[in-house]
Amino acid sequence: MSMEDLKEQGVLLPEEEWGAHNLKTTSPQLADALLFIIAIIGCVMVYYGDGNKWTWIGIVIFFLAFFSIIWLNDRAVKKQRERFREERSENK
Amino acid sequence: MADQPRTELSRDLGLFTITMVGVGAMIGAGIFVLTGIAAGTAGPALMLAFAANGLVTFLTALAYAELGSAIPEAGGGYLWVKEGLPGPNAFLAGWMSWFAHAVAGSLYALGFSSYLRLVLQEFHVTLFNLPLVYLDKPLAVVIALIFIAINFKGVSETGTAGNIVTVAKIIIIGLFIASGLYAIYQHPVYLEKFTPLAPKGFGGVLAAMGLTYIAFEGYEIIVQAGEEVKNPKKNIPRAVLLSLAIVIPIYILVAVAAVGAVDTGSAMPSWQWLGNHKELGLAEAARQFMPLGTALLLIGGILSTMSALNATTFSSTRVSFAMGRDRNLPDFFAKINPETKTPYLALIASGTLIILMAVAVPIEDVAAAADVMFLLLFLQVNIAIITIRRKYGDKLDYGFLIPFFPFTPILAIVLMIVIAVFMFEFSPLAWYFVIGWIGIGFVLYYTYARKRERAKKATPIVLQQMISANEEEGLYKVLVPVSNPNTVNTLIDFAGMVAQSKDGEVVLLNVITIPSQSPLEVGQRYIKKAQEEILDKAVERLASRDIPVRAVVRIARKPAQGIIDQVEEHNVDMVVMGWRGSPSHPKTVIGTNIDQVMKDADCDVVVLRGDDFTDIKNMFIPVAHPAQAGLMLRIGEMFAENQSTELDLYHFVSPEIGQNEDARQRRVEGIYKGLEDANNDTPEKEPKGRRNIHVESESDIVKTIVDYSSKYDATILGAAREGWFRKLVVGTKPEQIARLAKGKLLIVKRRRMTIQSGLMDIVEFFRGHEADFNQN
Repeated sequence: MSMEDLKEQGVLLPEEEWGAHNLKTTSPQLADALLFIIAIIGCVMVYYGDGNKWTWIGIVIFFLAFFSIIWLNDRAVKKQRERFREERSENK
Repeated sequence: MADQPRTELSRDLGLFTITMVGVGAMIGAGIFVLTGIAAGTAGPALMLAFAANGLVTFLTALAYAELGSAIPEAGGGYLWVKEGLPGPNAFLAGWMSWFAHAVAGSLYALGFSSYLRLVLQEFHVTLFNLPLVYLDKPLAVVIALIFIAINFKGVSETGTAGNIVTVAKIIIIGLFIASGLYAIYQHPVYLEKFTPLAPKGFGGVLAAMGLTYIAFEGYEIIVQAGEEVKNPKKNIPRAVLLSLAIVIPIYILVAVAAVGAVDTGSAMPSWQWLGNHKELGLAEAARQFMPLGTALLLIGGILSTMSALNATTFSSTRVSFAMGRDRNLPDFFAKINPETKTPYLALIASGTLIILMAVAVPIEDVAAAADVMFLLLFLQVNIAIITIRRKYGDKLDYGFLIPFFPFTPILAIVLMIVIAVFMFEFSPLAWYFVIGWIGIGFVLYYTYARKRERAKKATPIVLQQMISANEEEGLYKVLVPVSNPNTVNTLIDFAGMVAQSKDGEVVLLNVITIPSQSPLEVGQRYIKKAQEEILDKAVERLASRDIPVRAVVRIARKPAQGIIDQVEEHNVDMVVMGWRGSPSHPKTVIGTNIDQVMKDADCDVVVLRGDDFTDIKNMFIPVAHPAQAGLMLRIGEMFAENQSTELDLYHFVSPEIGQNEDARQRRVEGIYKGLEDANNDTPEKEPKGRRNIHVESESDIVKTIVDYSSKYDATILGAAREGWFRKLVVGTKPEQIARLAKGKLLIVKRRRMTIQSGLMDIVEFFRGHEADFNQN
């Protein structure tokens, strides 16, 4: 499929907007990375806790980290739309 | 595309509905059918398997969130792989995705019938004293037919039915979790059931991850419905994330409740007890600790398998619809019912596949294969997201951008490879199924889909005249693009000589080029001009020769594309092009169009530099590579036959090789072998025997060849490799020679082998050349 096909499908931005929008994620990357690592640590604790106290602490840590990372990225969706609208109005 | 009205689906799925579509697809087999089996594999560490799968899935889900928001088209992963990866990848992605979803549907239909059988057993229903297990397959067929009918009615009904079912089963699962956790709370000693956590080691955890991976693919269905989602830029990525936020904790808590709250009444560990009850493990567990447990779990199981079947019927239909629209499958897959606005024939085909698989195939093994197929599909999507960003990066409107790009998709790829490889250890049969299905896909692609795909992409032919040609098939075809009035006579004379020598025909092609700012239809205005100005004169020039002639006018964005399409559609054997002698662009080797034709046209290519090739007395043929030697000699022999041209073949070697007799001999024998192709290619001609090759050792081969070329009327050069590869591997010698050689020049390139052609296409694709070409 070519650029032309994407254009026909209305998927591409108008040509005057090409290159006008930031491609950096709106998700806070440092927080994402930390939370992902914490979630992994949670899994490691589950495994090495062997069904005892640390397993349950690990599960709780996993849940907290996982929900936080989902929340951050969900917020990033809203931020991305806002940024897009701002960039579009600036270009006009 | 431009000549067909595009079929579109109605956008009426909101955030809640589309999230429920994803949740409904995930909470199905994963919990109700696979929990028991997976508990028997991982032990109490099943909760860890679900958590780790959640993390692996999350990485790919981010890719789905980004691409689903940027390209919200029906087809999802299949479509992105089509955008992002070359050749058969897109077809295979769709092919595998279609099969995987349909098989998942078969699994859910059978899961439904197992649960319904248990209900019938609870009510002591009998079937003429036969075991109720005989009802499994017919019930699976009936439920599949019901959901085919629901999907046929349209997306609103699908969404409403799906929402009710999904919410109901979340409530039941919620009750199961609450009851289980309460039982554990009442009996703290139950916590000891979690030790040892992983009785089968980490291997058991990995096996359970592979086994239950299918339970995490539901977010894919969200993006497959991309064309039907309201405000897709926002709702698709949010729905992907929210569905994971709902499903993964539920999975983990179900694992905790099932393992922790079951009292086996013996020394048997609870995880083993669940494993022994297999797909009904969860329902049997509920009987112990949940009020109305069995009844509710049976209802939950039935609803879950129903909603999962609904979602997979929906997605397999959408994938096959998208493949039909892209001409990878027959056109009827893309037909939409005017009343219900649903792709009804794609639905019937997918439904048939679901029913056939449910009835005829040992579904457990194929379901494991579906796991591997989903892994491979997601792996392709993670590669595609990288190439799509590179190709279309700043031209798309993203609703979400993946963090740590491209490291996030790379990490996802690595993790999925680990799981997929481990699946081979766990179930080799699953991999055999996958390899078999992919093999069939390859055959289908190369024998059917590829031709249709190319025909769809091809530039339109707007005029075709058979001047003196007949419809005889199998004639050797020499194609001459005749856009330049200054070179047209030279090219036609040469093409006429080749066609006469091969008893073939000449195809005269005029490509009307239209810039990308204008629609191709604009080209219709120039047909008459194109015909009168050059084509008619060219036909006249060939009139004196007794050879068939065909005249064709095409409209294209670039001349090279028109030429390549003509080569592919009409099985052209040789293209003859003219070159003015200097590259048109610093990045090109010979010229933009010539480079492209040499690289992509599946035929021999001859490029002529010079005005008149009708009186060539002697010809210099510096043979460098055996691969081109046969074609070079064949061209030379044609001149020898028609114009009594004297041919001088040379092979130049470096002084090091020149001094080493063995190396020198090996090189010469290689060249002779290539030259023998000239005789093999024309068996009707009398063998000419071995021509003598002068082997000379020179330190500056370029200068020597350039010097020699000045002593002859014409020189034939072989384009040893194509495009950048030539520059990269063998340096710039051939192009230097082509630019510096004196007198008339013929550059020849032999047809590539199919495998070589495919490999080159893949390499070129990842270098972004295809995108550049298409963009121009």
